[in-house]
Amino acid sequence: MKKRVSLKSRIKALIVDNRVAKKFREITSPMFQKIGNTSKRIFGPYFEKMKKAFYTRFPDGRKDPRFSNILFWITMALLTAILILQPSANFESKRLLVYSVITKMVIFSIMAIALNLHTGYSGLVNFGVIFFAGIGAVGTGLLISAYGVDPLLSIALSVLIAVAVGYLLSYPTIRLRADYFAIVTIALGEILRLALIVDPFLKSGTEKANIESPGIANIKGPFQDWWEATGVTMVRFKWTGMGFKIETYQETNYFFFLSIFGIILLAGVYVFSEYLVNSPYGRALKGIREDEEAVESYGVDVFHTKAWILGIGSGIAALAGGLWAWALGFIGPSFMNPAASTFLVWAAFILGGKANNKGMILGAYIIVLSDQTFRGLATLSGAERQQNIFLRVVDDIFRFIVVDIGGFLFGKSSYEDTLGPASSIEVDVNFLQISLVGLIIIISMMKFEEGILPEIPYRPRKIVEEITGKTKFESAQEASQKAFLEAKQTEKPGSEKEKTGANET
Amino acid sequence: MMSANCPSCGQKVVDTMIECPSCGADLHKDPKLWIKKDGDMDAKALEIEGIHKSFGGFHVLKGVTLDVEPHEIVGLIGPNGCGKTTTFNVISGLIPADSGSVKVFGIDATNMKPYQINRIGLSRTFQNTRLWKDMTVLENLLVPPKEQIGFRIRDAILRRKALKEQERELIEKAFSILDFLEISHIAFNYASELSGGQSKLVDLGRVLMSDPKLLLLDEPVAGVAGPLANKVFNKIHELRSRLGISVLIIEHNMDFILRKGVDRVFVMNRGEVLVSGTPLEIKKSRDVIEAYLGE
Repeated sequence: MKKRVSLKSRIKALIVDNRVAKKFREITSPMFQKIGNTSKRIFGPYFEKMKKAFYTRFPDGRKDPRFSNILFWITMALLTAILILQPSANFESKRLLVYSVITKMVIFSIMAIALNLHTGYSGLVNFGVIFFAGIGAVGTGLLISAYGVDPLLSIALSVLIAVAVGYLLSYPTIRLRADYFAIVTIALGEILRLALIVDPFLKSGTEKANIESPGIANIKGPFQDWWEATGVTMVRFKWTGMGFKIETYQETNYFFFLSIFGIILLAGVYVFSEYLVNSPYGRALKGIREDEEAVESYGVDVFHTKAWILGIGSGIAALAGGLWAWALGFIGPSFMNPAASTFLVWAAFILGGKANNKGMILGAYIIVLSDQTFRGLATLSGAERQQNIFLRVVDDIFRFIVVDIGGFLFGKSSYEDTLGPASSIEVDVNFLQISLVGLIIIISMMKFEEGILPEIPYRPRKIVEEITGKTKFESAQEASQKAFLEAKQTEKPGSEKEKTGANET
Repeated sequence: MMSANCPSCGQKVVDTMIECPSCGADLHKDPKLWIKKDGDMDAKALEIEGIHKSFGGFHVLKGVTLDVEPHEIVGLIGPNGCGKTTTFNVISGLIPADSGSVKVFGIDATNMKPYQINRIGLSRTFQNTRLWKDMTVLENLLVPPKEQIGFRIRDAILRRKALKEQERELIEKAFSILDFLEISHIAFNYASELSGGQSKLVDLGRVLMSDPKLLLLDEPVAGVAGPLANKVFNKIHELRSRLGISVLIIEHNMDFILRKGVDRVFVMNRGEVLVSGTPLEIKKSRDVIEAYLGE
């Protein structure tokens, strides 16, 4: 209670009695100015120099492929460090956490790359990535658990099914504008989710096939039994207080296998999609994104180009879905919940930077890591929750809004009836996470709308310099400037002549 | 770059040459000596007959008939809303005609899709230069070339080496065109950063990359400063003489149409071709004056 009052009084002092703020500003603003000026005087030239050096080295800034690469790897290393430093009870649980986060990161990266092929490169706004991933997950799950097909074969089959579905989807939707296409994809995702709830065929793997427990259970990944029985021997450096001690242990956690397998798959998908978009086909895709009619009148068969990218993108999404089915071991309708899937993939897409496959991996990593962090926070309760500074502040703010403002306006019963007594009101971390992801999207749209790693423009400097020669490139520039000046002179012949005539005489 | 045989001595010449190196024939000025491209150049470049088109109850084209001979520059003029751009859209396949026929180099292109017509050899520009704005100028120029290896997904993935070589050749070609249009200094700029005149030139360059035999230019110099517009028209003439292409131009600026050496002019009014003839004849025509200035 004490804390709440202090927060309130502080806010009151700031808002109502702004004399305090004025006084504060009066004292501090010249101080800050002085500090700013001196720091500008001292560090300004260095800063300018650094800036100049940076732009001479990377003339396009974040859009330079080399700098984009560097930024990608630095951020990946930072995120991995954050992942490893996540709190956990013991070595066992930490290993599980790292492997599962990496597996999930791989799944979301692959889905984001699929979304990128559809939306980032081809301009097909797709809110139904989870539909295509769902085809992969359900197909893989059904084939493995109900028909006993080999896991690798079943994922390949469901990817082929998804490619066919994506290709055929273009027939009814090809004439739709971007927003209507988006609505179709949302509808498809919902159809599959509802089918998972009600359709008996999609519950064939479960022992209790009823409405309460829908889904496909007993999905085994490739080599899962073998791996869990034998595993591999791993080496670990253990800090004993005196120094490092080398220990060996048997790694039988299946998520370890999945994360390694997933990283290999992700690398394959990344290389494939990079090859695809950096080819004449990719250029045609970008042209379709920018102006479909213009591309068509320049000799690109828009229908088949679009149909194939729909098919390929949905195949890639299905690959992610199959991987997800292996990782979860159980496919129910809840995994297709838009807030837990489509929303997060789109967040990764926007945050990472559209039309940049590396950005997709980065965005997916950030989103999955924040997801994991909030999951950790959601498990806290009681004294542990009180110790967490972040949650305490958030709870205080929430209580201030609900109890002090809401209670003042609508009466005590407005919160007591639903949330209980004032002292026990807490924020539900799950909802907090979703709203914070939304906040991240809003901020990144406002501050850097192109994402962390923006699309890299096509500027093959090396080839162009080889072809034209730098001097020729510069001379062309000069020639054009000369032509421009000449054109300017011919524009007003009378006045120019008069001037020159006067000079001559 | 295209090569052909000199029409007078049979020596091999390249399209950038103005004079034949062996016999000294002027390849630039004399229409009889223009380099002829392969393909069916004896047929008319463009022949459209009785095109009708209505949007709902609005009858836009009422039997438009016109033709373009090989190596000819033809102007298409008329007041606003008389159906010039709709005629272009019908020819290039963006809008299907209600009735009538379109023939491009003797091939019936009435029911073809835009990309199929483009592959015959017809390229068009748009009135409001529809460049691909989030792509660089160079990238804009690399989309139109025909028969690229990587248009098929299988080739895009597997034939990386051939793709690289092709990329180099295409960039070389793009830069020769950019040099020709004197805009090679903006090759790395985004298309959205260009001025109106520059984007008109890039649009022209983009058309040239697809090796057209017949060019449809929709107001190529609208909104372009006087001297630059002059330059664009001179370029079009130079292109005709160098590459032996045929051109159909929509233009509002009567000065350009009537003085800059257009071979023939079609005048449209209210969805019909009013008169056609040489610029001199058009100048004297009473119908044209009526259509433009009112009775």
